[in-house]
Amino acid sequence: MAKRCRVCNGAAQIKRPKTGDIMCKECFYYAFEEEIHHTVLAGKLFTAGETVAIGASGGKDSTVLAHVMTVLNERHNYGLNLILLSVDEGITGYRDDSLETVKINQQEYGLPLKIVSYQELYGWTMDSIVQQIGLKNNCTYCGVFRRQALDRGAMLLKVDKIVTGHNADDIAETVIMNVLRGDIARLRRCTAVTTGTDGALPRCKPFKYTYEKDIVMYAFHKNLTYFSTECIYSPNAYRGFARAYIKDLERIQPSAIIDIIHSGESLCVKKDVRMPVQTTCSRCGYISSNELCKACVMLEGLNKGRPRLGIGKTHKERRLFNEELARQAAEAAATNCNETTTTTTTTTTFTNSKVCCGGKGACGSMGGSGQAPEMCGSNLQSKSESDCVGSVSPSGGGGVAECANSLKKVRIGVPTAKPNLLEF
Amino acid sequence: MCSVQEEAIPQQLNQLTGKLQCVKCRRDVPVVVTRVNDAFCQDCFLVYAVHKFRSAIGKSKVIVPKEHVLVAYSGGPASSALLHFLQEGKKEGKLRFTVTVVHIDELALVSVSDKERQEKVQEVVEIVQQRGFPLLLTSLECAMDMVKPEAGESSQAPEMCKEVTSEKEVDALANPDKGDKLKKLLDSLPSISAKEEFIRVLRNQVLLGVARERGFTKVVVGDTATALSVRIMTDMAKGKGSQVSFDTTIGDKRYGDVMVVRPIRDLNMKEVEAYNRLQNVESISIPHIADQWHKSNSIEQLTAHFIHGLQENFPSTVPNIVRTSDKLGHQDIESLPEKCSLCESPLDTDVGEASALRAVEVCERLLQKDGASRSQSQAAQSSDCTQHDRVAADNMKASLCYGCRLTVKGLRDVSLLPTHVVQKSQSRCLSRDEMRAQISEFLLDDENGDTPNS
Repeated sequence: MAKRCRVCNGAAQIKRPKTGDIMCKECFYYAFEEEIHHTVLAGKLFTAGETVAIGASGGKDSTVLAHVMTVLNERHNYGLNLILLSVDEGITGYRDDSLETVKINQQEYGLPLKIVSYQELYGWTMDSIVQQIGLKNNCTYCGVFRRQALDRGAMLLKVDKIVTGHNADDIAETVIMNVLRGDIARLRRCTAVTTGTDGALPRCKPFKYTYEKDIVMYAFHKNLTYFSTECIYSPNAYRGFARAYIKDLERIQPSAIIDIIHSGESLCVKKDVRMPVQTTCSRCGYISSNELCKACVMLEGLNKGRPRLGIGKTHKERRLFNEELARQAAEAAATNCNETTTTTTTTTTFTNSKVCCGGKGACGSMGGSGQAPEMCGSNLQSKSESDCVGSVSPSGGGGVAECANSLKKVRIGVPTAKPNLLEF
Repeated sequence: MCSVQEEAIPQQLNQLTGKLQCVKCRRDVPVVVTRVNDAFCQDCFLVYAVHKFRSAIGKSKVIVPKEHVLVAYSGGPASSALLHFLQEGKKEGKLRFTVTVVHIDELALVSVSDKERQEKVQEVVEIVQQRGFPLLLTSLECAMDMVKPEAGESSQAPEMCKEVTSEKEVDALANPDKGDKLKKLLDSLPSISAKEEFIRVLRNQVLLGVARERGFTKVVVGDTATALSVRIMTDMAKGKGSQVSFDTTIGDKRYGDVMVVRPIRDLNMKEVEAYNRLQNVESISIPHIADQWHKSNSIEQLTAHFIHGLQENFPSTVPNIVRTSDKLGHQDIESLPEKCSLCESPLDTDVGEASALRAVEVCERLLQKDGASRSQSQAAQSSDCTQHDRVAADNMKASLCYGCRLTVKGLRDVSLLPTHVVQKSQSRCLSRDEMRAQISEFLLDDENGDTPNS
């Protein structure tokens, strides 16, 4: 006996992974799209007339996202102006291939495409980063940089919002990861359908309740071209455990993924738990929990040939580094006492010319998109820098104290940026 | 996690040079390695373990001096250690409250002969008597019918538990009728995960029932840090995120009248087992229905497997998870939120439009969209499901929390559920009907054909 579709009673072709229902293709497409439409409506993700960047990697999630957003935009008259936005991490044999897929998508849907690369933004490709730090922790770099890169690209395009293809499996996985790591601040944030509403560019996840397997099913039957190779650099092992756990859960009970999201949504944090306050990075102006954002810290580590500065126990690396700096400064002071105040300050504090360059380049690009230009430049009050104030040579120390007294946000001794970064 | 390897090096060095000494007294040869790499000698470890237990009670101030508390004893290693801690405290005269032990007999779920059942219970009785505490015996099936007796007829209501005074009374507590009802219910639950969750809720209900019947306001349970971390993750996976905080805190106040206390939540399973070994604390292995379940079909077993595997490679896993739950709170119970009729936790179903629960509902609704005709034909197919049954099922669903809805999801006949649960769900909708009756004249209802002429 031929199986019948649960909805229209026609001939059924598929068993829907999310619910286990027997359906025909058309009814599945409709249910799949309308559920996303509900997420969009219920979460009030967009208002008419907005320009929305679709974070497109060429993978299945973003390919289907681009397709569904185009479909829904027409069907329900969202009135959105859609743009594809890709980040080129500079991974040979992986990203260059997947970007080709994005270009095919671009032609299919007739959407404009913008590609921003790590090389332009940071002066480093993932290939060169991996050369520096090896295959351990490289994903930390890539993750932190990609997040910022997407925002920066979006600011260049002057869009109102970014949508990403994070699906229900990804969110459930993140919830589990954050419980395992005890990261209460992220645990609270990670289930939000829109993040970054305060100040930064809002990011939405229309696939928040969409199952990964449903997405694959949709892409497969709609014959959407997507790129499906794992990144050539080793995947994050710990996240791999969480991922395997989610998959096992789904096998036992398909609703488990959405149940975890419900759990995540209904958690509430005790009032007396201290939360990190979100501020902006004093160097690049990007949203950050610390004085310096993670990307700036990591970039600094890379540029100084100390890649471990940005990962793991930062303070240990930093202390060693500061000691080394102090020693060098002392030697320099002994040999050459007649340096000018400003130059001493810049060489002895944490910012050296190359880092400022990276920060400046990035800021410059943001300045172009209407961000306040005074965000670049180092802030004297920054914790990391005041740490090393004690190790500054006498003349430099005076300079620092003087500046610190005069103003809260002073731009001191930023050397002229070497324009090795592309300006937009 | 990155630091694990770094810290392992001095440990290995120590072992190589043979200079291993207790981290506490720096004198004796260690016998137990706990936390990440702390080696304790026997004496220091026992002091450490006892201290963790006592400080948990002392610091939290959940138990008032001279209070009578009910201690749940399953026979397993954790609760055996708990009883030993209590006995030691009593011996030293430091126990400031009196203890009554309760054991829930769950053998009705396993096919064992009456004789075997009696023997196992007898073992429990012996251990508890050896520890010198009075014992109450009850069984899991008791929770199938816990209708609160009316004020006048309390004497007629069957008792939840029996005191063990002599050894002959032991067999009298099994209740075949209720046992059969429980088995029938479990059989009709479609998934292992639903069964295990239901048994857990039921066990909790028995404890609360006994405590309420005997006037205890505190129930002490032997949840270890390891068990709690598995609990937390299982709760998350089963949509019970709002209960994580209740399920793991030292003093669980969600029930209002009875508080559940977890004094060994700072010790992990490894520590408990080491303690039992060093102190020669016996525990009993009792056959359980969960023995037949496996990580390929049970969420709880899968989660336990997952956590234990992680814990082996990353020793900070369990403390990390427990610490996460310590930072979680719950909605204000003072404001008397509506409670789930099954698990008595505050309902977590009053959520906004942009939520997982609504997304699930939309998903279900979309399936039915096309078919008014289809739904009729389907109703015709399942003619055994009458209108009345469907209303009962809907009422039941509305009175349950998200997690318990999942538990009873595949249950065809909600009247199989424990009597008090069915009553509660009905009284909930009755009270809504009453409310409706009170305001009926102001409702512009199209059902009333003849509108009142005002």
